[in-house]
Amino acid sequence: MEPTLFWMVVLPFLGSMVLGVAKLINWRSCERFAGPIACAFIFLSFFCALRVAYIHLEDPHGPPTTVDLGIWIDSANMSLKATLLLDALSSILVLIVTGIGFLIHIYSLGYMAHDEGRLRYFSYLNLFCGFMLVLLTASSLPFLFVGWEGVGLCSYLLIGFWYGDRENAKAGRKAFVVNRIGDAGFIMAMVLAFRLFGTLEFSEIASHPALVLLARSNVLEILAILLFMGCVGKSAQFPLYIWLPDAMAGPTPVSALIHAATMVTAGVYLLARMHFLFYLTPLAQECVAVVGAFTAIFGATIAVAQHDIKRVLAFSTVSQLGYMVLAMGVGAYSAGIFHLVTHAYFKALLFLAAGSVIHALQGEQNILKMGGLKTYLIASSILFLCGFFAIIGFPPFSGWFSKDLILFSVIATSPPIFFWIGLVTAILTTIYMTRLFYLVFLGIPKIDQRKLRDIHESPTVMLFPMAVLAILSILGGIRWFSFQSVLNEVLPGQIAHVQGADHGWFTEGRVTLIVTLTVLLTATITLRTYVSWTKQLEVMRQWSARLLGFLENEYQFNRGVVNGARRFSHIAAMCSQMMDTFVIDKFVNSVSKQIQGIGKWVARFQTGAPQTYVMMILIGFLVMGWILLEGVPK
Amino acid sequence: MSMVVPLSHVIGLSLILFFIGLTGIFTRRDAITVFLAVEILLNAANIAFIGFAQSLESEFGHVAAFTVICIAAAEAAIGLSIVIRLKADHRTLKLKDLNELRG
Amino acid sequence: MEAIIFYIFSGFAVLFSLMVILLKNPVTSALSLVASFFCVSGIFFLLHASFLGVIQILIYAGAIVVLFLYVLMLLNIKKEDLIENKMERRLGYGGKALVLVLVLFAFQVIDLPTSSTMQVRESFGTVASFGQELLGPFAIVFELVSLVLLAAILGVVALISRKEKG
Repeated sequence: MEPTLFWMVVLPFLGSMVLGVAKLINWRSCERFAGPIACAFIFLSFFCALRVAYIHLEDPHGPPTTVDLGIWIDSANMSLKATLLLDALSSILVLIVTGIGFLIHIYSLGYMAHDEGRLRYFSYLNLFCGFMLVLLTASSLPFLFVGWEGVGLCSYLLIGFWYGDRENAKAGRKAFVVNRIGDAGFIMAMVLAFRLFGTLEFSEIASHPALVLLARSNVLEILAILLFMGCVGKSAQFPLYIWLPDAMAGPTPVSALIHAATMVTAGVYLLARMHFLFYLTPLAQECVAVVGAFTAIFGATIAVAQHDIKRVLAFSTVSQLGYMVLAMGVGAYSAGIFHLVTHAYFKALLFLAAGSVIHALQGEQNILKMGGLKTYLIASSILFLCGFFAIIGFPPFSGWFSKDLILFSVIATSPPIFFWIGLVTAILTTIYMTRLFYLVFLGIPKIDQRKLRDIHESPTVMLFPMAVLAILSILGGIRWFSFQSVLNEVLPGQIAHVQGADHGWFTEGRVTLIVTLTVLLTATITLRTYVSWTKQLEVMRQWSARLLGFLENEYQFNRGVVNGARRFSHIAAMCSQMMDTFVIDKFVNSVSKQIQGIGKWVARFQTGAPQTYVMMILIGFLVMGWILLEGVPK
Repeated sequence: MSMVVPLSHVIGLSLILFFIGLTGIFTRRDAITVFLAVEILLNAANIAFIGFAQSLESEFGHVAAFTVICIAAAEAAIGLSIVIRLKADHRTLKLKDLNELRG
Repeated sequence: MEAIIFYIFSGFAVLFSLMVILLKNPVTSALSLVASFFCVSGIFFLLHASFLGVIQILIYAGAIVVLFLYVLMLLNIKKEDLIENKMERRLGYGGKALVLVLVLFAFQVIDLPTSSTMQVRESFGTVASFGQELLGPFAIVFELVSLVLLAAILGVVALISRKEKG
């Protein structure tokens, strides 16, 4: 029973509840202190995380820290324990969640300083961190699912935070519903797993004898694919990514925390946790790789044509998640988690910087109406640049290490097509990020005059977290910072026996060189295009207008899904109404008519004439006499 | 003293009178004559009581018959006042017109 | 010898009862009822129930039916038809059929001794004996009956007396 672990998980929940209670008892200055209180709780949680994760980072193969919370469900044939478990893998992620969570809480102090719903915001934010920690420290599938659903709930609450605008509420609902589809797969997977193994604890499944017996069997493949379905919903893979761009309706710090660094990575974490399962199901693993690859390139193509700063970053997230899932799909689990960590750093940074811009321009999010902000927002632009270099994979930023590792794993284990898809995605990533940076910070300002008057750099409280993240983005790849050694110890990622081996022409060094050079070239060309070759740019734009429009509308996929869902619910409503009128009403009415008929028949006996009644008494007497005397004697 | 006729004959008479009374109830159409038929019924019951009293050599039958007569008297009194009331309010004693409880 | 008288009396009783229910004139019906009661009283005497025979005449024939006649004359009830329409005819037939069934049924059920060799004591059915029975073990019955009669009196008063309008 390790109390530190327990407190680490419980503290954010406490923070959320304290704020809720403060509101209930109508504490006068609760709005003012909401932010600092929430920050305090999450900092304490981070502190606990440091203490307890340290052990596992020192000795990755040591025994996991556990906290037994007792029996959760105790029924006839199923007994579920509720246990918190921390091992090396979850240590890393727990540090990310609490650390970056803490930074974003600080950032929110500045960003949400003038918002009326501050208290509600911080309460939800703490609640989210709590649930995320539950997810990461769960020792069994159902307990993980509790955290899974919890973060889904908080995501819904925070996306629709400004629910006064109907669109925001719709976006929140969309996130929840699409997530639910994935959850259906998760639940079915749990049922199947229980059927197969009789237990849902990770450690017990991993060491279950039936696991080996079922290797490569259809049943196990189905289980793996069902689990992956949950991942597709949560980590915004195709086709369940549609909620993520709409989720940008929430406050920007929320996008940074939930939809860049933590919640969306839950799916990837699940895959890493259950890696032993995917080992034995090559078909499912291939499926994962295909979906991941497709999502990566899909997201990137759409991002190129967006003109809302947050939507570009949203689709970028979709694409980067695709990279992570692809890594999981080829068996490079440690590489996938490594990219998860670096992505958390630079994507959170990028979102926070975007928030800085939006804050400075009093709510403007259209990049076509920005430009030249580097002169006004010096600090923000530098910090954004750090994130920019990280995401495109510029050495020696953190992103270079992780992306490079993934691409190398891909080429070493899979058909070349995956590598080319990955490379093209990297090119596209460079293109849209350069475009974004140019249109926002460089070039000729196209800002609205009124907004220009009040433009100001963000306060320190917002810049400080960005700076920390920038440092992490720069240094995150270097050995000491990157947890890479730890990851390689605990997650076998086929890298171990791949590294150093000779896989044809593509050695690690060569791959790195190709990728890096491609990226640098693309960046330069794109920049040049925007800066100097404006005429050619205009020609290109006109030429590809239709294509761009198509991309901008996400290949009409989103609209198609929404329309389809609408039509389906319309049909369902009609069927329901017909059933109600023709079947149920008819039945009920006929029953009542029958009873009325019986009533009328009985009423015929009430003639009002006493003689009839006498007759009836007599008849009754006769019948009774017959029964009592049991027929006629003699 | 000995019994004059077998008990079964006495009861047989009682039965016959009883059924005559029943027939009267079903047949007659106005309130008073129905009452007369009811009196026949009660009388028949009395005969049966007396017969059994003699057979069992117990005075209880006599007491019962006596009670029946008294009750019949009370019932006749009230019944006739109802008849008078009916005539006063509804102007008719025909049973087929007195069917407000119909339905 | 007495048996024959019994049968004569019972025959007349049945005859008069039939007249009660078959005659059209209500007054004639009531008078037939009196006659029937007289015959029955005679039967009571033959059955060694002397006290009750007297009571039968005194109260039943003498008071109750007289009351009937008073009311009949008060209300000026005239002759009337027995059966008017189809419905009542059906009812009448039905009733008679039912009664016939009951008669047959009854005669099947009754299982009584057919001999007449029993003896009763000399003082059976006399006033003294009856009085001892009534006011002894069945005193409560006596009291209750008097209550019933009281209720009847009250009921009659309640039903008949009515405040004059206006």
